Amino acid sequence: MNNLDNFDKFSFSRFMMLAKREIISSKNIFLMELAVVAGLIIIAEFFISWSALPSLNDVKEYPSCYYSDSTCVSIIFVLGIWGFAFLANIAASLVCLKLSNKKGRITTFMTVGTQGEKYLLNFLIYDVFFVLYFFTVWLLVDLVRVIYVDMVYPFEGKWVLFYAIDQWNWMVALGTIALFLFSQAFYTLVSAFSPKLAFLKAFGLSYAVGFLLIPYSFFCSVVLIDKSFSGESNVIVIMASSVMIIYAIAMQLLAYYRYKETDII
Amino acid sequence: MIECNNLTFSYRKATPILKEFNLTLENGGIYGLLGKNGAGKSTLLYLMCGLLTPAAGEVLVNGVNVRRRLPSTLRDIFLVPEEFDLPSITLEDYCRINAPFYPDFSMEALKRNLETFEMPEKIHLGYLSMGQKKKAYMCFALACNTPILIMDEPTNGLDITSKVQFRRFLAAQMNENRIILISTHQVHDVELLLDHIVIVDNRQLLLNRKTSEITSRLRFFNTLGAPDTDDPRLLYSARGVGGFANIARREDPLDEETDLNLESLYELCCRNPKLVENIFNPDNTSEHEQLG
Repeated sequence: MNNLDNFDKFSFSRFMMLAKREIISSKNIFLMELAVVAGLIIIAEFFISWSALPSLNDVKEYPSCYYSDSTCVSIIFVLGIWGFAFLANIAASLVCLKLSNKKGRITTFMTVGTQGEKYLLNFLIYDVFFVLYFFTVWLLVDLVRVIYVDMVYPFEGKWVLFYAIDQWNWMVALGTIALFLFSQAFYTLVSAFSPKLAFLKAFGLSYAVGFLLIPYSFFCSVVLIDKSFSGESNVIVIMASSVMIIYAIAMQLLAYYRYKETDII
Repeated sequence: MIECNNLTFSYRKATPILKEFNLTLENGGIYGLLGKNGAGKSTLLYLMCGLLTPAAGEVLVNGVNVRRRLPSTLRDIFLVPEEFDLPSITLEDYCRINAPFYPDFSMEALKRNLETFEMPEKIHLGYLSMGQKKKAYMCFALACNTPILIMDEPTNGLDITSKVQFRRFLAAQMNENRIILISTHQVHDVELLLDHIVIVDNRQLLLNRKTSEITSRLRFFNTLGAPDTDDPRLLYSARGVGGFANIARREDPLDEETDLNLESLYELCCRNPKLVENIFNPDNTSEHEQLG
């Protein structure tokens, strides 16, 4: 800390101090966001389970539970990815939210830390902390579902975590990560240039262009559920993923440059 | 030390607010930055904090360009803007998460400052009025002990008692390594506190002098009736409540030194900047530091 040259470089301890500061000073907002995430997951799982699970009175008439079908579990898995991507994009659109007014810009730019630390801070909170939280809540909620299904249909319920691990392959992982990085970079970029209502703007723009929703829909709905690619399809996924990751890096760099060069007026 | 070197700044396509502006603020002074609305006071403060990018020139804080927004520069500057947001947490939590960024932060100083403002230590920032928030924020700002403290209209929103307390606690915090820069319209709130006066108006830096130098060259006095206008030493006279406020040259060092009247000085600088320049810089009247 005494060496000024080192002080002006990225410091992990200061980065964590900034994260602590951000979380404590915005704890009400974060708690609300966490509650909303948990609520959405519970509601989604509840409706899926409700529609897929026969009533208790009909057990004898429906000995084969839809829910033990791998396709139904896939739907939960895909919805989980969708939900997470949606939340990640909301988070990305909030990256530069504090720059939307003069007071916020003054507070942000006068905070002691490198510009990189301040920029990455939001990703630490939303991409690391929120990812862990999202999947933890999702798995816990699904565990409740599995316990319930097991009570009604012993040995039929499947926990999505295990199912996901069973079904996972590198192409799915690469494609998911590439799509995630690409869409998040896009929402971040919109946030950097126009922090107010960035999510709506980015969503509207991406919807209008269709370049995010169409491949997402295709990937999630067809590829993940049908698992219909192999061989040549792998090459396409690798190429498409590489292009998306390169674009994502370019958009993040542009967003960071914009963030760094923003003035308060 | 803060150095503004050939600073030029304008808002988008507008006429430059600052043009080739030069100003140096030395350590160990409480500077008062005075000027009309739109004269560029707040802009200058923001430039000094690296919050704006000049079109040309630079602001150096201890030799480092402040626009780079380096952590080592940011930890040396504390800005109290005219309007600010505080999180809805306790002051204790606020200090816990913010104080580590300022190595010279002193909890004792914070307690002392709060005491001066007659505020309790255990307060929740979310439940305070605007004036109380300002006091709490200023207490924290002072307790950070940054070498540079910049305050934009610090007495706005403070009641009369608090203004007196503000002067008291600011004076107590001053030391020879520190620069305190106060931008204000409310000159009476701070005139006894300042030891340097910086006046900007009509795009010019009209004055940048120590108060001791000002009072050694000018005499500020009030008269009930109109003063003798034939007196060649008389520079300024204006009718006020209960008489006239006047400024005259203090040519004889044996003349009694008077208290500074900032309002009159400001008016004199705005009305006759050349004359003021001639008084303080008789050998070099052509060198006029321009403000846009």
